[in-house]
Amino acid sequence: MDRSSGRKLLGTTGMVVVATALAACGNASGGAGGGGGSGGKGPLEIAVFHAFSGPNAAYGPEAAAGCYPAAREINAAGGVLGHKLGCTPVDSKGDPADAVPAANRMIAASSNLAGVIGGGSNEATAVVPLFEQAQIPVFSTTGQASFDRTNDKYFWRILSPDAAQGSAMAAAAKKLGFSRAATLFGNDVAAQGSAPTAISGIKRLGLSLLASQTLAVGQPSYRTEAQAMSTAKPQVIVTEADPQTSATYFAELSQLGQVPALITDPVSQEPNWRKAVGGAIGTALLNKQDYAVVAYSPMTTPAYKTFIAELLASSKQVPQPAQWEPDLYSVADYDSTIIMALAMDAAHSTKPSVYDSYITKVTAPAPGATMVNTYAAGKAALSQGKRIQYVGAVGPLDFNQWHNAGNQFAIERYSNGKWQVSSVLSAAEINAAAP
Amino acid sequence: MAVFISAVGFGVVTAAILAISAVGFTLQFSVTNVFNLSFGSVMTICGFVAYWLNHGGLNIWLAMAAAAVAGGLISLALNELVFAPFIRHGLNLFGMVIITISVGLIADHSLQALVGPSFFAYTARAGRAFHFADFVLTRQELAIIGIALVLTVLVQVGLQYTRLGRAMRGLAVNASLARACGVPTRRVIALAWFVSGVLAGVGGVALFLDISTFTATTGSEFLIVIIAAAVLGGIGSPRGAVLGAVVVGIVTEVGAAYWNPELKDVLAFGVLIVVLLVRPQGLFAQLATERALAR
Repeated sequence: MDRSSGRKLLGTTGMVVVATALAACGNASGGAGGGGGSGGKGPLEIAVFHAFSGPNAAYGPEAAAGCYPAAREINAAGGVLGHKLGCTPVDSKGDPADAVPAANRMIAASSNLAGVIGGGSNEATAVVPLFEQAQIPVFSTTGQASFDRTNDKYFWRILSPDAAQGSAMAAAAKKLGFSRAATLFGNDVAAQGSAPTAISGIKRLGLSLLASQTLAVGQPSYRTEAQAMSTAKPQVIVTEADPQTSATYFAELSQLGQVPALITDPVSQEPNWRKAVGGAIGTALLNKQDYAVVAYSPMTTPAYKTFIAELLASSKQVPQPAQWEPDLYSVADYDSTIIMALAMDAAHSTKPSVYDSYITKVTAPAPGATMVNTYAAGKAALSQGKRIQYVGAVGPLDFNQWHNAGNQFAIERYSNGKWQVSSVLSAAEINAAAP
Repeated sequence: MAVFISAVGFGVVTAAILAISAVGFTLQFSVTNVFNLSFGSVMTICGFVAYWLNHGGLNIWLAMAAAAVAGGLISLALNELVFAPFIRHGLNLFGMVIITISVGLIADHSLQALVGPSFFAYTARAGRAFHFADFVLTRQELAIIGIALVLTVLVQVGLQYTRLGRAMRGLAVNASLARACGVPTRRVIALAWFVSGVLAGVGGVALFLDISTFTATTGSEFLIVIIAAAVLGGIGSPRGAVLGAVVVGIVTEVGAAYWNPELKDVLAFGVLIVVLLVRPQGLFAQLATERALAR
């Protein structure tokens, strides 16, 4: 090898080393060392593990809109056992191939990692085992059926699984008086979670299922599928698909004639979904036709009011905070962060493997438990040696043996600039649709 | 029969959109031999140029024209400032692919940082619906088909009957010989990039009009289908790209009608594989020989 080749090789090697170091620093969530919990009084981190880039880039800010208000509230009350709490966005990019290395880097590089909110449907199956192995509690909004009866000790799910969501959507179609229905779901993991129970629920309740379509997401055209739906003439379409797919499909359906009533799920309450589909068929038509079936959260509880106040005060970290007010996922992530903090207080430890078992102790109803709606109230009660039951912004949370909480469901309509509960689905109505 | 006719009719709309972009992609490749995977990002940027103009009050079709010019200038600038220097330094074909991927990623993420992870839509109405046999096309869709026809014919006529078009074809066959014959290769290459960018601009706006809403990464998400159409028709052949787009557009819609709508992509790429097995050069192109990057 001559001198110039040697210099080139040295230069190239040096650049590769520098680039690798920069990449490692760029994605790591602060600090060195492994595991979670903090020996000193340094800040604790709650990782917001979601997609912040790529096609699902809306999910990260949505989750952050739950974490930052909670962190603000917690720090205003003096923090957790003397530690300030911070939210650290970690970009999973919304697919397992990127999420797994991101999770591994985060776990390896963070000495103050106290908990995780995240793991959406696209990556949960891949990353939840990693958090389990690292003994770090993760509050996930995935609705996948594989977590309905999980033995994972560190996995927690506040919102109802997709299977229950599907049954509730079928029950809503019946309750609203429709007799001729169709189903329309994207073929991605998130949408397919509720499809089977929605379809079986419609049949179980005696409605006519005129069409049942599964859309390949992200196509430039759904004209043929929209034509078939238009020909079937359902009174209502029970649907979940991502914003892009939904917007393209319903635009083409509206060009063919009429968009019937739509029974949707919490995805339709996300600002991006409403912006996409409203832009495609008109906001007025969307609001007129859409019935959103969502986990019932009486948005008038003290905890919800606290969430709103903290959210609006978090505008430095959460751009345009008001857009997240009705977003159930943001609200759930807010509650998740508060619960983790209260569990740490109850356990007198910030070590994730220790406080994990205290999560049910601060949320489950129990005789003599003091009901609290804010972190400050919970912290005060715990400091007096009382048992507490945190009733959060999504309502009471009673985790079962598989760490699933579940909710009631309600039908909501969007009118006068906000979501309003139109009716609540009873357990009997949902059970009639459920397998 | 009615189902088949309506599926074919709908497929024509998809084909029109794919054709505009596929011709742009393949034309530039035929002249420069650069497999430009940032093409989708250029489509997206042009789509946003049209969006800003449209929301500023400009009619969408005028905004599309402006976006086309923007696309031409962006592509020209990318070649002059990024791709051509690498080629002059002797970077090989594979290295150039990596460079184009990098440019695409930088463009997508920069645009997303600028506009946010939100959805956007033009203020353009679909217009009156026209019934043809068993399918319905709106005025907007008919306009897109018309634009696709005009542009693809113009490209073909330009390549066949103009001096620069003949120069492009000569460069596509043998760049060294073309240079030796006095063809101003740098100017021809620049023109190829410009025209490719114009078609990316029109294709991007047409795509975004068709799917109703878009994000900062939409163009890149559809790039693989565009490449499939170009490869199916014979990479480097604009006529082939049109035929490839028609095949992909119609096969996906007919497949959705008769088989399973979930498997649209399976059908499209299945057809691509079958055609390439039987005819590796694609439907139109001559069997490709190893070519160097054009300088």
